[in-house]
Amino acid sequence: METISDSLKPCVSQPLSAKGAGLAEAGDGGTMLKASPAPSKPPRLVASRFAMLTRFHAGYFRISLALSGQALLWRTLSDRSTDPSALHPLVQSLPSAAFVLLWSLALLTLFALCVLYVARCVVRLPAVRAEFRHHVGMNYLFAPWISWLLLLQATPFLPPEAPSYHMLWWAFSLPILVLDVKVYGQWFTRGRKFLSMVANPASHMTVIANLMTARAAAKMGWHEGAVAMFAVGAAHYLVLFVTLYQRFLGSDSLPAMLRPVFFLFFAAPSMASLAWCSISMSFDTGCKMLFFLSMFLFASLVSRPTLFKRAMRRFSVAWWAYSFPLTLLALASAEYAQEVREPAASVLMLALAVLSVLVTLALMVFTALRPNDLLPHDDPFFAGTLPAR
Amino acid sequence: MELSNRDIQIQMGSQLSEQSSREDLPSLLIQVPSRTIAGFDCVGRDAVFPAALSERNNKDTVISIQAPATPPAAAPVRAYDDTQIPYSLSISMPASPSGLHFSQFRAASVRRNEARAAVAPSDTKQVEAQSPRLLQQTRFHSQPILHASQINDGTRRADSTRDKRFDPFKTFSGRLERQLSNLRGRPLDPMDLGSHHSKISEETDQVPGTDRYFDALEGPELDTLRATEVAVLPNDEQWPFLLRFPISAFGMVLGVSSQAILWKTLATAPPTAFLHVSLAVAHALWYISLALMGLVSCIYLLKIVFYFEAVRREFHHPIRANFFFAPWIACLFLVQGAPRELAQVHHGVWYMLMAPIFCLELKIYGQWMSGGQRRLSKVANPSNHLSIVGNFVGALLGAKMGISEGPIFFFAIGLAHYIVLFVTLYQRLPTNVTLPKELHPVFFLFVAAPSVASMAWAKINGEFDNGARIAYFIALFLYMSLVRNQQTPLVPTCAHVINLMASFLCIYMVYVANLICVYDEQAVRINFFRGFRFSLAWWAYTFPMTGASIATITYATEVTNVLTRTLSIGLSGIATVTVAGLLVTTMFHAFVLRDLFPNDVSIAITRRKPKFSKILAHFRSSSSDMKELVLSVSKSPNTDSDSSVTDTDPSVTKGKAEP
Repeated sequence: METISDSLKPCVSQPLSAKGAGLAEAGDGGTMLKASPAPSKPPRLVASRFAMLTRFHAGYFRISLALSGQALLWRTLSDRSTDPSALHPLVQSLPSAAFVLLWSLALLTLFALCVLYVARCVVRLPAVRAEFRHHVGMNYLFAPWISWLLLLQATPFLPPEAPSYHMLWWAFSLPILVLDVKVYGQWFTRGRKFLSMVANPASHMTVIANLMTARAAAKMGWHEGAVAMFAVGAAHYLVLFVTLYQRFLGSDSLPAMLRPVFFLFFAAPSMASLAWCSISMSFDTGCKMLFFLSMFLFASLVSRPTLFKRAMRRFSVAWWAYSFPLTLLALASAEYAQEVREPAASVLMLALAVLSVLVTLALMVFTALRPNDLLPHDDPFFAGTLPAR
Repeated sequence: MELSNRDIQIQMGSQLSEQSSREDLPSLLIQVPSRTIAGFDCVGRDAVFPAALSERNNKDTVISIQAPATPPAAAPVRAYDDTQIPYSLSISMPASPSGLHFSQFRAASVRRNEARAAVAPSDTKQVEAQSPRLLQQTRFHSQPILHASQINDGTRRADSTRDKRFDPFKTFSGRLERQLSNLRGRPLDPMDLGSHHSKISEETDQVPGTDRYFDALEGPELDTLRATEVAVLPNDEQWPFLLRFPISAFGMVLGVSSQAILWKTLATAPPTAFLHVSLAVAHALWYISLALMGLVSCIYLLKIVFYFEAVRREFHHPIRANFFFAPWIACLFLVQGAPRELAQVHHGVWYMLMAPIFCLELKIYGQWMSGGQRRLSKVANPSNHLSIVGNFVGALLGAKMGISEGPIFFFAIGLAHYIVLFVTLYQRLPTNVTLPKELHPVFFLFVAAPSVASMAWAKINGEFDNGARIAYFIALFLYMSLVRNQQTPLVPTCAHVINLMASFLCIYMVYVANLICVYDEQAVRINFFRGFRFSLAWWAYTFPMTGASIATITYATEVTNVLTRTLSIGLSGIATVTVAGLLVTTMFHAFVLRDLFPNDVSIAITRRKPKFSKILAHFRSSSSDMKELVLSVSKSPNTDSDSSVTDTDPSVTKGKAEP
């Protein structure tokens, strides 16, 4: 086992230091330990030792989710030409190169993760199948497609009306649809995977995927498709919300290490608010209600830090789950501030945006400092333990 | 062993009653505590472990009395010398199963002491001189004498002779009260300070877990102690008033203030204008509810100050916790019913009232979500609606005051959690142990949220649109289904003939009929209508009816025809009659039955499940105490106190019949 972990170190630390480099260039100025700009994967290590692929899992797409979300947030904030808020000059003062860098960093990370996962599919198929059967791991199979959709919406050079945009939308949405049919079908037909048994906060990923698809479709002008995806997502969100709130005694199956995933509780209503805003072309009362619900859930989670105490003992990839929901919340608050145009709303947007950026930066720093913890031996998500259920 | 002990007691009692020589008495009295206290004290335990008595003797003497520590034993002896109290020794305190049940027959003994004191006032000073130490050392045995001194001497406050049984429920375990009395110029009793490291404070130091509330209590409001449980506080006598004052008393304010709004709406709404209701009624109701609010909150504030632990236990009670929303909702109602234009009210008032609601929601909903012991699948109960409806009431008031974003915020939170709660309650999960099986007034809370939500949505949107209508019709349907499902076996015809009769009224009538016929034979009620006891919380269940009638009037303003007018007047009538009836019942309970504030056992459960032996000991001790009492009563032939003893007898038997 030691040899395996030793072999992992260079493999993991290099893309991370690449991130650190991108971060430093993005205007932060934070000092990185190693700023060696060598983003290319060392494929020989992967080829020689497949053991690392066994331990890699879809949960690592949280990183790409967080980075793509940041890219979209920056894009939204810098696009806001009509926004008179206080944030605007701040965003404008940053060079647009910073945004492009962030975007390409996200793209690079996502691409690297995807390559790794494809390699895993090829080499470690049983592990992938086990992950697919796992009640938590399954939900993160949606994550790469959500990341791609996020990146697609944040693309600086591709207008939503372009045919390539449509093509890409279909390419990224079809897997989500297939997974939807599979997962939602399992919820109410498969005897062993009743929703009451498999529901956990990570299940929000399925809903977020639908809503993200709806938003991307609405952006590219396909109203019907957007409404259809929104309806599917909203219906299942309702069911999931009620089920998760009830907290059946038998379904307490989220390990304490994965508690950060609880943040997805407020990501889903934020995403729904964003999607509905794109569909209805204005931030109406429904959007406001969803956004406020998201805010309340956020306050509710933040006000009980004991829930996350056990997860915060040691850095793990689960920490990355903090960033993406915060980014979505900040995005929704940006839309809200644009609609309401009150100082309080602008302050709220500023605070949430800064918070999400800070959290993402902190996670990057943590990842760069402690790359060993990213692939631990006792990962609760570890593929060896996955077929337990 | 046990038999011999009892023999000693009986012998003593008979000796006393025969008024044996005065030389015998003192020596017996001094020696009896040190030697045979164990026999007195552990009647119950002896019954359980007769063989272990010899070991227990040592332990019990340690606990109960240190005989050498009372050097001037002459003084109490002189007090006892008075042979007009032949029965005072035969009152042995029960064996206190949880270690907390001292003096179950205290009420009885007090009265007897009163009688005695009236005869022999000259003795009291001597008793008084010894009283503090006696209490310290022989808490179990010498209390009757202490009470004599306490009652006789009006000027002397019971600081040193304080009742320590309620200490664990006081703020800082009673230290606050002691300091207050110190401020008044009374010296602190040094022994008093050191003595509260007792078993009691250990037992009640922490709030019981949620599971304990479910295990130890039963009934639709979780307010009855199960038969196998033992309360921390003595169950057979009245506790201090503040301890008995529940948070659900704010329900009264809810009921009355919502009536004020109803009458205000009746007076001002166009569809009911032909009734020519005077605004004076609404104003009178509003002032009454304002005064009631002031009174109730003053009393509850006192409870918070003096009995903070009791408040904490109430807050952890899975059903009572929801009633902590009641004061704020009542305040919102009061602002809404205020006899002035709502638009002129300062917006700060709204934010001030919503802030505590928001904090409480963070707490309560967070508990549901984070899935500890209070997960929703376990604690879901119709009274949870109280924690939801505050959002809608706040949204309605905010929208009426002209605030733009805040009402939407609370409406969104309320709607999301209302859906969750609604689905959960409809599912009737097997894990939901507190859902009442039969129809109970608490189900009327189902009507509250949608009816208020419809008004709030109409106000937020500026018109009574489809969303508001959907919410209103849901409320109406729930109301009707409650009425239709009213099939109480006692008055089936009533519910069927008068179709629009609210089931609350029916339940209420059943209850009143039951009350009247039970008033003669009180013992029946305890077993037969266990889940059907009147409580102040019923007031909180009237405001949904009032809310439904206000929503109907709002709907009738939009859609004015004969049906909607009839409906609005009918529902308003039902709501008003119910509130009036409830008022009469409350008065009846307050002034005739005098049990409006019964002992609030739901805050006095033990932290751990009592051991089986303790339960058994509880039963045994109570039964043996009964025997003793009967014995002592029958063995005291002479004396003036006969009447007083027979006076207390029914109360004692009534108390005993409960477990």
